[in-house]
Amino acid sequence: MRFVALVLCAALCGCASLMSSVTEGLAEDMSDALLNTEDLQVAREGSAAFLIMLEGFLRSSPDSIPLMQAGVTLNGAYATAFVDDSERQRRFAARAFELAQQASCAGLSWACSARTDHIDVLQANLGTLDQDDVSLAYTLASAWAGWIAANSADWGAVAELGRAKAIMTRIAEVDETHDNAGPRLYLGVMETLAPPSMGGRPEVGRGHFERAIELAGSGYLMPRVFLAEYYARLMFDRELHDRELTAVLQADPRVEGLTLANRIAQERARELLESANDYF
Amino acid sequence: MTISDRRYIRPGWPRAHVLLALALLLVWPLPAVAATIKMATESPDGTVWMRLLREAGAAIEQETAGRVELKIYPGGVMGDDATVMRKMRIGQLQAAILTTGTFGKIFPDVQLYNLPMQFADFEEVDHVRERLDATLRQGLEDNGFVCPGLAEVGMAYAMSRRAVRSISDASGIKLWTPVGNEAAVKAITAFGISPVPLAIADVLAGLQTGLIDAVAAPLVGALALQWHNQLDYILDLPFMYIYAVMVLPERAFGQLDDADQAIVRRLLGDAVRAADAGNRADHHAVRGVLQQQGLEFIQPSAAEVRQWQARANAASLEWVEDGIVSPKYHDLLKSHLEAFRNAAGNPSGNPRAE
Repeated sequence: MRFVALVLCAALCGCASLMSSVTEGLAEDMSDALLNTEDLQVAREGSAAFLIMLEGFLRSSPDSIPLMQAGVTLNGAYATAFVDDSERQRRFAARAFELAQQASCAGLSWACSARTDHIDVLQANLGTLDQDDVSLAYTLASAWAGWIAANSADWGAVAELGRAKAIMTRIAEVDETHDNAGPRLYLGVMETLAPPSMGGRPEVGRGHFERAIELAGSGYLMPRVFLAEYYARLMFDRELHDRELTAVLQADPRVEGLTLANRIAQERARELLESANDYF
Repeated sequence: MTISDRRYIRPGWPRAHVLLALALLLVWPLPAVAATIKMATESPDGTVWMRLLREAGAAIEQETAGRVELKIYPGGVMGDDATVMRKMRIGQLQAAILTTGTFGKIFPDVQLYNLPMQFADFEEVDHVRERLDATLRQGLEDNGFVCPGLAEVGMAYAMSRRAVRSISDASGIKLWTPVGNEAAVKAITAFGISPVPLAIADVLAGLQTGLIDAVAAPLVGALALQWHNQLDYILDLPFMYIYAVMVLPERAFGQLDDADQAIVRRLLGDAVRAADAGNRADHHAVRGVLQQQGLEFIQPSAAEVRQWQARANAASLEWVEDGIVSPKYHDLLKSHLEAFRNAAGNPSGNPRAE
């Protein structure tokens, strides 16, 4: 499964909102600086240091939901953006998912049994989800999707995708703008994992991506990379693929809070364009 | 340049130009021109199947010193199976992985292993396939298609929201069948069940809304598409063996020289066999996961199994009467199964627990 870029995106884009809840001034300043860095090498090294720092904070305040959310975000982002080794990716994804379950269970009663309840019970519980629950629910669903992506060779993990999707679907109903339209991006990827003949719904996925582009605005480049990588490649639409990626490369990545994510989006766009002749 | 257009001469060329080109061809040895085998598959990019095919493509290119290239079109982008077949006929594609039903009018016997409820378990499948795969592949070759191998997709089981143990339990269930799959409709109606045809992408919504309340599908498919979340019971009686066929139209394949043909056959055959083994391992893994997820495998009684099998045998004979499978191949399958069951001390062919 090709969730890698998705997790990366959601994690990076989530940094701003999640980090703001870390009241520690140092953490906030570090978060801002990281999200606005243009140099991927600096971001890589800075993230590692930030990760250790957050684990330290968590030792002092193990029940702090904002700190747990920050840990989810950073573990997910670091693993996806800067770790190539799949075993290490699984470890970071597992830590992110563990913290996400703890944080969401502390704040949302239904989340404690979200992995074990019958799906009908989970669906019924999600009916009560409102705006106040969005942040924690999104932390859970995005970390869950990241954990499934890191463990996509494990059928036990794949079996849980429908639950993560159910939560993400409900979040999109309540607040589709959350995390720069992150719920739409996740749903877009989930619908474009397979062609229609194998159960996928690529046109529904395209609708999610286009809505994300509309909601997030032109300054955020990741949704356009997703449209190219997941939809255009699945549908063999090279014209769309190349057009979106070329536009991403030509855009100015420097946008407050999104610079790092945009730099990574441009890096991915370059890789996709370079491999396009082999693919199409 | 594809295999089929290697010797293509553009009609607009002046006659003298053509003559000159022909003269040069006669004098000089033919240069090594790369031939591209364009292969279509429904399998999406990123799957194990695709990894195996890409590895096979790289090996083919290397072993033929660049004379043959494999270009893969994943995710059904070349259209449905009927469209892919047409594109192979007109030379736009030189290979494909297709469902057996696609060959209904060309070599229907390739659907032999699809006969409903003929295999009690995978041991029987393996016994029969070891003895009959080569015959089926030869049948395809006799009809103009080189076949490097058959790839197991899995064993389909009936899965439902309410417990179904016997044929009488099954009456009234709303069972999904793929749109346009007449063989599946025929197999299901034989059990007195009314099928509900839906596109595969609509099955999950169909289960959620109650439009359907049961599917017959390979376990791996049900899990990958998240249908298992809407299902509670699995009748532990293998309903139908599902597999795909890799083919290369002989007309295009025959234009490769003999050594390259042998390389392509061998490497694609290896890829199919690896996929075959991988899918089997996935089946066993998924069976365990579905149990962990709380789905109950229902063990029918011996009497209930006999009821199901009597209906399945009648349906199989109907397939023979309708020409879906020829009497010769049907009897071959039966004789191999009988020999295996007698040797295993299980002459009735009752399913053994996995």
